[in-house]
Amino acid sequence: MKILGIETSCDDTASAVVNDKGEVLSNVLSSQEQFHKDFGGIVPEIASRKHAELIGYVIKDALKLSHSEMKDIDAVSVTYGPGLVGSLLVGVEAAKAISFSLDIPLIGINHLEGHIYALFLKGSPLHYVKNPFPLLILIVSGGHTELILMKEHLTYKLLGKTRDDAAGEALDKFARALGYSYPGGPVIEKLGKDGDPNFYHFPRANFPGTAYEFSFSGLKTAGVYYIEKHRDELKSHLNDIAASFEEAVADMLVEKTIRAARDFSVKGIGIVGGVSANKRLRKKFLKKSKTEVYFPGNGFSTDNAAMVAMAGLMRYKKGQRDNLLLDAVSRLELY
Amino acid sequence: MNVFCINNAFPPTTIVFSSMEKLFFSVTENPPAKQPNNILYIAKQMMTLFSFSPKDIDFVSVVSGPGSFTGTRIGIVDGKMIAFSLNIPIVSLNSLELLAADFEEEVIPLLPAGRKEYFIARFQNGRRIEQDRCVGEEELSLMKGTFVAPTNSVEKIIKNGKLIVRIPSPFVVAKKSFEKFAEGKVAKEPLSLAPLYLRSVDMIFKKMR
Ligand SMILES: [Zn+2]
Repeated sequence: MKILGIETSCDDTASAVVNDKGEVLSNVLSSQEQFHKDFGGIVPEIASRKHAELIGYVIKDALKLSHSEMKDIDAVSVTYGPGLVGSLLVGVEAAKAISFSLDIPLIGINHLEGHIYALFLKGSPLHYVKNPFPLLILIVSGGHTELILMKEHLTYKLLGKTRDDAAGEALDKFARALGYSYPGGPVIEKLGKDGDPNFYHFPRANFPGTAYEFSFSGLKTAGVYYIEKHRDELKSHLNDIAASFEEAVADMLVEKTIRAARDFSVKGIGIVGGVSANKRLRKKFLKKSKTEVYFPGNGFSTDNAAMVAMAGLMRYKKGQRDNLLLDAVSRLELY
Repeated sequence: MNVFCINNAFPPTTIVFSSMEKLFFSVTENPPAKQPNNILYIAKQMMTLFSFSPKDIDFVSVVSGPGSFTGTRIGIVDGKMIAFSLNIPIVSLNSLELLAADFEEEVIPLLPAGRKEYFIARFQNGRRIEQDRCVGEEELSLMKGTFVAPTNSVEKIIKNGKLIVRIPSPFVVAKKSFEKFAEGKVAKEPLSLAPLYLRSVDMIFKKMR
């Protein structure tokens, strides 16, 4: 069995083919980063236009690289939210048109569920664990910072999320204050790679009583303020400052996650989403956690369509079938 | 030979399934703003009702604008992905050409473009004599001639001309599609089919500021 995945929730047009063993047969992604760079962020109308231009080619490539033809595809799964509605619509319509033409099942996927199922793709360590539940999930990206408890496949309980900014957003804003363009996370990682994380101690937010909630706006403000006040230091200590900021973000994520893992006696922790690719964060988790920590395989932390196909496969097995009225939902909840 | 046509570039949305000799079914509707796009849902229901399957489609035709950005995009993505999935050809129709298709006299097809702007062109006997362009309310109010629009919402703006409100009939949509196909105007690279926006994102940005 082969399942086609389609992902267009933000600024990447992606498609992948995954088989019923969770093996990634192809994983194609076309980034629009260069088109949005000049605007300092994502322009929805540009994103929609680019998706509409690229979607067919990306799907064609995904088929070709998996040595498949359209007729070999048994089901099509697509991200239908959350995300930019105009972007989502392109992927959803493409999936509907394929389902309509070939008379194959259509499966709508929540983008966050997609990120979680990147952990279960073949090649990722969690794929080989027989019963990983209860499993704690930290979704951490430019738009999300959430702790979720999974007692079994496809069921989610929200333990806590950010009260304000997402962790990735704080990294983006900090990078912008340093004069770098979007997306900022990878820039900070590169700068901070050889820096001293203890050069400056940025404040870590702490809420008594809300154990699993995050807050990054305070850290973000402190970071931007620090840059403004220490322009002279930027030249000589740019790497140290980037490393220090990254360290603060990682500390906050690790502390709350480990606390939740202990409180809920989970068997494992899965860290997913764009920021989960961050090496400093990965190292810190592996060092501090007594519970087994899992990350998506290489290249599957950031948005991709293989994760959508994998989530689609799980939902297909569970019997989910969506009809051709499937619609894009910009604020789709997972819980 | 059967064609499946989609117009989602301007309201009302129209789908047509037709052979050269016979129109099998068509659906024309003005969908409420917040309803999910139902082109393919309805097409599937109708096909089943009339004992057809998508395999009976020999080529696709889609209205590629100018018109609503999102609406046109949905129509085009539907159309090109059907063509790709079934490995069949696709032709594209121009919105303004379609509006002018049934007129012998000189007409100015007209579509609202949002932000007090309008897409127009000029046709005589169905043949284009002026390129598609985007004009403002003021220029439009000064223009003379016979306008053809699918809605009477533009009535007040046309001060020096005559307005004919006309929705392209399913027969006209099918006829135009077969004409394009016969003329060999099949998209060489179906997946490259993109909406005719007539306005760049830069232009929209400037207007917003
Ligand atoms: Zn994502």
